[in-house]
Amino acid sequence: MYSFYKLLLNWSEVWPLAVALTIYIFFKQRENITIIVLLLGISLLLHMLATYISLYTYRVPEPYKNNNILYNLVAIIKPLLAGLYLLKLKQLNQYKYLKIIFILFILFTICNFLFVESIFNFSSHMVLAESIFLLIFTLTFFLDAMIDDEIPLPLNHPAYFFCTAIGLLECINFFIYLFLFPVFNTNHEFALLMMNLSGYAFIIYGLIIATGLYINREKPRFFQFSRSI
Amino acid sequence: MNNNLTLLVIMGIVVMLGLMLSVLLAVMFNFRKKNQHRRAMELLKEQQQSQLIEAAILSEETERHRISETLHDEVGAILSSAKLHLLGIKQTTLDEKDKKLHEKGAGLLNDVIKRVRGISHSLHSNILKEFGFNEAIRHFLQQVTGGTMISTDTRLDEKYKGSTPEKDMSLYRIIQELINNTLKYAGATKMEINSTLKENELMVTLVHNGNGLSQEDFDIFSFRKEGLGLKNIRNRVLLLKGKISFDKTPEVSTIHISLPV
Repeated sequence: MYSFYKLLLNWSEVWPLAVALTIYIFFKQRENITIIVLLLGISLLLHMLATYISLYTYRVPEPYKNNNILYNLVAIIKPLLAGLYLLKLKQLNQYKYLKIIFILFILFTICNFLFVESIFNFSSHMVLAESIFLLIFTLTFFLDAMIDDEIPLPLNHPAYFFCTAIGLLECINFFIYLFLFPVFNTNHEFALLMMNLSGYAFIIYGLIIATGLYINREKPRFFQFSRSI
Repeated sequence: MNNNLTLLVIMGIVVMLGLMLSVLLAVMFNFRKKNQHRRAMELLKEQQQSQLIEAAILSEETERHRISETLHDEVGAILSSAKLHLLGIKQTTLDEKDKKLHEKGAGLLNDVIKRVRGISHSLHSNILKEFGFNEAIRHFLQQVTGGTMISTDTRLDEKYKGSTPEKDMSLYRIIQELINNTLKYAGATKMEINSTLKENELMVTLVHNGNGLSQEDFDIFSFRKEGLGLKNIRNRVLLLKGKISFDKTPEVSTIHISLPV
């Protein structure tokens, strides 16, 4: 039982995304969520490789043992695709400052990896920028929904689930990654606890998105249940 | 230093998570409030619509009443007086040709008096008020199909003693309109009206062997400008919070009406 729990936790950045993608594969979706699916697919691939490298380092050839580049790529791709998806929504498209933040994030990424940090090292700047970027976008999404006199999107729209998932994940990860290295150096046990917490947050993130995709389903893609009265 | 950092991280996560959860809760409450407001607005709109329909129906009934009274009291009285004058003509002074014309005129006048009385009664049904819904339907059916080739039958539930006068009048008008439409357009030779009272629901069924309306036809015609009768039926059913459905096979056409009473 413990080993199963350990397995779930070790692969916590992989299986929740796989669950969400499985739901997408099996059910046609009402709303267009191509960008979210693209994000899930790329994240799944990168997290799978990163988790494999960290769990089975001894099996990986020497030049590929560093998985930091994979996490850095996730930290770039996730805000870009999530931001693109949210900016495509009519309700967020009106906010010019979000577009400016989007461009600033791209500039920051280029400058950071060109002049400040190496893409082959774990970039705490990048993870922080990712958290701040995504929190601004998700909070704007929710605040706009509150300010609007009507309910701007139907309550079963996947954007609510997506923003809830990202918001919760980034709230937890923001402080974890902000102090990850200092805590690792001073309190190793607590640092491991923080990593576990990050794993739980990722499970919640994946499962909330999966729930959103399930609620947004239209009809099964491959099979149809016949119902008799 | 070590403890301070740990505490800072814990506090940071708790505060951030608390803030995010507060936002999510606020959004949920806000949405619930908006939904309640929207539902209240819809209810208000529905009530306003009901009031408008009620006012339109009431004014229609008032107008029918006025026309009926005018026909009965004024036109009817003048026609009766004309008949008296006509009957006052001494037939002995008339030749054969004039006698025939006199008889023809008196016959036509009698016919007009009967028709005017018939129209007056159908516009303002005293029978409905005095003898109730079932008797009014039987009488109306007899009145409109009497002397024609159409055979009719009624199986009306005698347990139904009537609802409020307004409801009964609306239901009576609906059936009146449906019978008229059947006679005018369906080409039926047999017609049957049944009613059943079950708990608080009255179900009325009109069955005939003519070319009646299907549900789709009713939905299309009742929204057309010229479909005034069907529109009235729809409005009255809506006002009574009832349901109407049309069923059609090559042999039989059936109209089901169910109303809460």
